[in-house]
Amino acid sequence: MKEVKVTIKNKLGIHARPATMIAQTANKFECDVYVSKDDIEVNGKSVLGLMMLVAPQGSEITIKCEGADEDEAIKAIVKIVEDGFGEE
Amino acid sequence: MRSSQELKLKGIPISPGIIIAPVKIIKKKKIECKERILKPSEIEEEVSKFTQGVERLKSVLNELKTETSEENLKRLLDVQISIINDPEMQNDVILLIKNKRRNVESAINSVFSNRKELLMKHESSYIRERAREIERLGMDLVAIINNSYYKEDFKFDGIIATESLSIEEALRIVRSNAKGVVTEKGGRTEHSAIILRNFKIPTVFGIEKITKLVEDDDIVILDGGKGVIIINPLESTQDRYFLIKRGYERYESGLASEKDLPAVTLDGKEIGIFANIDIPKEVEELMESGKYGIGLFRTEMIFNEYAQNEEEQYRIYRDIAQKIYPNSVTIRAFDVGGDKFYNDYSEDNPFLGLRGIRVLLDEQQIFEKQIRAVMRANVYSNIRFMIPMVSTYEEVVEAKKIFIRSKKFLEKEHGEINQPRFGIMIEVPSAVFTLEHIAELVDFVSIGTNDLTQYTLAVDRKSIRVSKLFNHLHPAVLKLTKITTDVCREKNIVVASCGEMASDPYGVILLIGLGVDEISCPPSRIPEVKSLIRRINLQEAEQISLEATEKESPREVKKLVGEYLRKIMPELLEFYE
Repeated sequence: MKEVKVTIKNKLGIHARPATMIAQTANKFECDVYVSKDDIEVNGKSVLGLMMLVAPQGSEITIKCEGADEDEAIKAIVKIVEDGFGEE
Repeated sequence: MRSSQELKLKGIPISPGIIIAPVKIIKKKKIECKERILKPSEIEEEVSKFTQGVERLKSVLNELKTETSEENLKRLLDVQISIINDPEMQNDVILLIKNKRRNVESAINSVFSNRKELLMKHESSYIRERAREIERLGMDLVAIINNSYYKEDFKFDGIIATESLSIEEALRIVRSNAKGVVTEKGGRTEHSAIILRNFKIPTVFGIEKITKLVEDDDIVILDGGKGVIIINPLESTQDRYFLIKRGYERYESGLASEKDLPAVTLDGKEIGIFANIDIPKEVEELMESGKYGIGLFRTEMIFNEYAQNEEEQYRIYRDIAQKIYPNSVTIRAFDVGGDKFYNDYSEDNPFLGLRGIRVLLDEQQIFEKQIRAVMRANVYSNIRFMIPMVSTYEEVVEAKKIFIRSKKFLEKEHGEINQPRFGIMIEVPSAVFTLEHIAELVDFVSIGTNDLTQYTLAVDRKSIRVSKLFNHLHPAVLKLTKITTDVCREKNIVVASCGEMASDPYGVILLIGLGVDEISCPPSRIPEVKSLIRRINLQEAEQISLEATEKESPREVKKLVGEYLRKIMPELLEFYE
């Protein structure tokens, strides 16, 4: 299992579009993906689940991947978050 | 239902512009989601109906995406596609079908409404606004499964009347030749509204029963700026609207042509134009719309999250200052009430209680953190810092002391600091009457016309029964404004104004006439305010404003200024609410 903490950089935090980007990427991989913030953990492949997280700019989320391609998956997802979802 | 009489109806103005054209009603079939318990033998088929429906809706959305060239619209569709793709949503639906033997329509309905309810409770208003769209998407899925989904034909050279609009439908309208849109439901912040506004399709939402009140090919007048629909207009009404329409088109192109010109009165006084900002996100929009400074950045929005976090505040302020440079940004200190600090703290009369500077002086550690963040952020020397709700001289002395002390501490830690300009809000009459003393301590003042009106007239405008007494054109408010500008001129400090008066054309004429140097208003109002200022003759406005302060009532003031407005910019009175 791989686990990484990342900080949300974009101004609006996780809203519909960033949630979509995470889910789209997560769905490209076989492994299970979980994203958590505080006490809430959601399925990283579920855009509706991701939208439930309250993750504003500056907050820290934890990404967990478990499965055969966990290394590639976590790298890809962390990159999207670190790039601020291509937003300001 | 139908009558041949002219009928004028008022809804929500969504996208301005005037259309006089025949109407076409697009009725949607009611989507049935009645619950039914399946026979065991039906379960397999019901599941496959669902998975096929998902695939079909996906391909509809994908098709729409390839036909769309706008990047941001493509992204909107991506969100919809990935909701349809959501494995948890799909799993929930399939479990309901398999374990509870629910028919596919009612299963989809429960799962999507459940998700909607959850998202409606989200902290972020941005997410909450999406909740209703998610429910709509669920209905689309049901419709596609029971074959009641069809692509409505919006190809019509006239006005489309329908119950409500989804994102895809708004997009189809944009790509059709429809001239205008009227709906029964929907609000200003919905994506469909934003799309229609972006593409300048005149639109009115919220006309109840419109699809029943008209028949196909009836002539309808749609006034998107005022949110008005006129059914069966008389010929004379049509003639009048033809003229208004032509005027509006000229008016629009006029505003656009002046967009980049300075806001200078006819006799040469340049007025600073600034924008009010509530959330940092608006800064980007502002940057696109033309280069203006920010006259009022309200920090209450970040209070809950970051009041104790100097670093985060510093980052936010510095970021805004950097983006807006070389223009300036006025950051207003947290303007919150006492209930934010003390559990169970409530007052009979919070507007006269612990709020604004009173709170900040009570909770100095929060105030200091904000001051430190603002000072550190002032790398480009373009930040002004403003204190809300000042009612006494001593408050300003105390606030200034903390301000200067913070600077000294900071300089020990961080080296030299650019001291932001220090100012106060003029919102309370007692501050106006002691301004000659207060003025010695500040670099600028900003008249907050909403609160000044409230405290002068003793009217809470949120109170339904008395709100009609609230009026910023009241001569008492104008007299207080005049004292303020007179003192400031004498002491040589800048007077700005924010609040609704600063985007009301009547108010703008008076503020300019009374000697205000800067106007701060919502970004969307800037082009109009600017055009208006360019038509004002300062000497004339001064004369009128002076006269207005001597009137007996707001009504008389409005009449007086209205005559002038009609003279210099008659178009403006025609087109907006």
